[in-house]
Amino acid sequence: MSPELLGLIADATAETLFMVAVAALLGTALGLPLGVFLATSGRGELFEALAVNRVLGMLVNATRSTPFIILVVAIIPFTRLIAGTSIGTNAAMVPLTVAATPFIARIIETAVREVDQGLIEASRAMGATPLQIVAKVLLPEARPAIVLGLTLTVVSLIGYSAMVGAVGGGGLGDLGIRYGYQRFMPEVMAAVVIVLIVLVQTLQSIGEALARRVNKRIRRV
Amino acid sequence: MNFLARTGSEPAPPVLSSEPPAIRFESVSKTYPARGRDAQVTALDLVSLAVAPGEIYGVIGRSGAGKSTLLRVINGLEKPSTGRVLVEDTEVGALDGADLRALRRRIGVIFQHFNLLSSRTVFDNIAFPLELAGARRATIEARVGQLLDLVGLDDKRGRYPAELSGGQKQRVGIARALATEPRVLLSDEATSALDPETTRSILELLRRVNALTGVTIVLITHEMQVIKEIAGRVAVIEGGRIIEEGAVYDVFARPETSTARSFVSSVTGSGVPEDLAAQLSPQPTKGGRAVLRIVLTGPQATAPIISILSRSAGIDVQILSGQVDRIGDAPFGNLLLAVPARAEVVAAALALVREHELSGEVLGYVA
Repeated sequence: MSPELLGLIADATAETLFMVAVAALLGTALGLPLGVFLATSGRGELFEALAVNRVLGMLVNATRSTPFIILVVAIIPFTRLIAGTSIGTNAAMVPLTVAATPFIARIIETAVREVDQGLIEASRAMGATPLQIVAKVLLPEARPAIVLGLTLTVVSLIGYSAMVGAVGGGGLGDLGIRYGYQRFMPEVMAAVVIVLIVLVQTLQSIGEALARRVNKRIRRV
Repeated sequence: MNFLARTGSEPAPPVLSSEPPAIRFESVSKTYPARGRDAQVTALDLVSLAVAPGEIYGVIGRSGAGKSTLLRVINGLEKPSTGRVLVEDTEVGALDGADLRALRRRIGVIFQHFNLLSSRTVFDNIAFPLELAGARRATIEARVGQLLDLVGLDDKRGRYPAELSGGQKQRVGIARALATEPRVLLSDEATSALDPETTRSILELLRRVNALTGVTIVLITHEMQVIKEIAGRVAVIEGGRIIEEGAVYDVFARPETSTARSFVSSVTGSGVPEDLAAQLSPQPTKGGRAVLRIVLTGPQATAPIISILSRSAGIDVQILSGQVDRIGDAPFGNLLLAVPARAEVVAAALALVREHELSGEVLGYVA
């Protein structure tokens, strides 16, 4: 494989990682509060707000049920508004973030709901404010599940980022389609797939190791 | 036919101090409205009680009797439907927001399942209520250090709850509950998940804490053993009502309701063994025996009642079952005896029992 091709692959890898990192960060910034709210606004819960809970839940479901490739096209006007263009790596980060946010929200919601109700009760009995309960009880106790969930999100985003390649989003998917498929260069396609596999494996291992580290529920002697 | 003879004096009720009660319930009811197919539930039904400062007050009842609700209205996790709950003269139901949280910091709670934060070390778990209250780091260090000493877990300060035994976890729970120097400690079935040995050590710790700090303790439990070991007064709750209340010794000596009797018999052996109960008949048979229950209470609890019966009245006494125990510092016991079923013998035996300020009754007759 020529040095030029290797350079292309390296650039595409960097683009993919950049897109995924930004989408994961923004998605977490938006999805974390949303997920916490979804998990704590049901009947009899800390921030009870049934109507808002239901509307947000429906919004999340709607976004989650739209196939990603359709979402990318459907929100092009919004993408233009935010990124100023609908083509390229910067533009691709908009639909990636839009897709990541509800995904992360559901993951956070599930993780927070798994926290023992007895801990919430105990904290209230100790005079904790609802925000203290979120910051000092729910999030720390849900941390192992959240770390695993975010790992899952990042892995999914790598897959999504390959799809935005189809609409000129840059990154590994774009490279694979333009060189591997359209120019009949199977070695590029193979290289792209291998890089993706290595990326996913590495990220998954890091995520699992991190989750183990923050999980204090396992007895260690 | 009931020869129930209740005589004898029990220890005086605790001296009621002139201070206002630490906790007072005034006709408190709590009903949960019907929802869907579930009918309305009355968890508390006109409960009135007063807990004196520094006392250990036990509430016993079966599951679903309303114990938990009774505890939860004290720290305002539930609001009474009617009536008032006062903690040191503050009406809990009237508080909201910051005032309610401030009150809760003066009320520690320990739980059946400990409810420790798994992501925090022993030290940080105990520090938690202090953090919530906004205490400074130096204050927290000093206070948590004292508490670790008190509960004997200084060597575990850096451990996580998953690395502790049940008894150690409850010690952390107790230290945490005491962190903000509360005036009241609520114990929600705190020993129900522990083995008997550990239960005793935890109750011993609670007693020591009570003596050391004067904290008022309200504990709910379904185990009469717990009441017997630690409480000064007890309320028996059933169907949301307090059906019996008094000094623990009195309730043990003279349980008035069948529920109280069954709780008492679970630890005192005052129940009639099953095989014997099956043979009991209400009428004497010729040549048969009468079964007497003698309750040993009061100053004469240790009177040599069996030798008195056999020696001074010449009655042949057979011991069927018995148990002698201590409640608080006072001896207490139950004896099931069989004597010849002739009316004059039974009457003489009961008269002697009464003469020694004990109570006795005829349970029935066996062949």
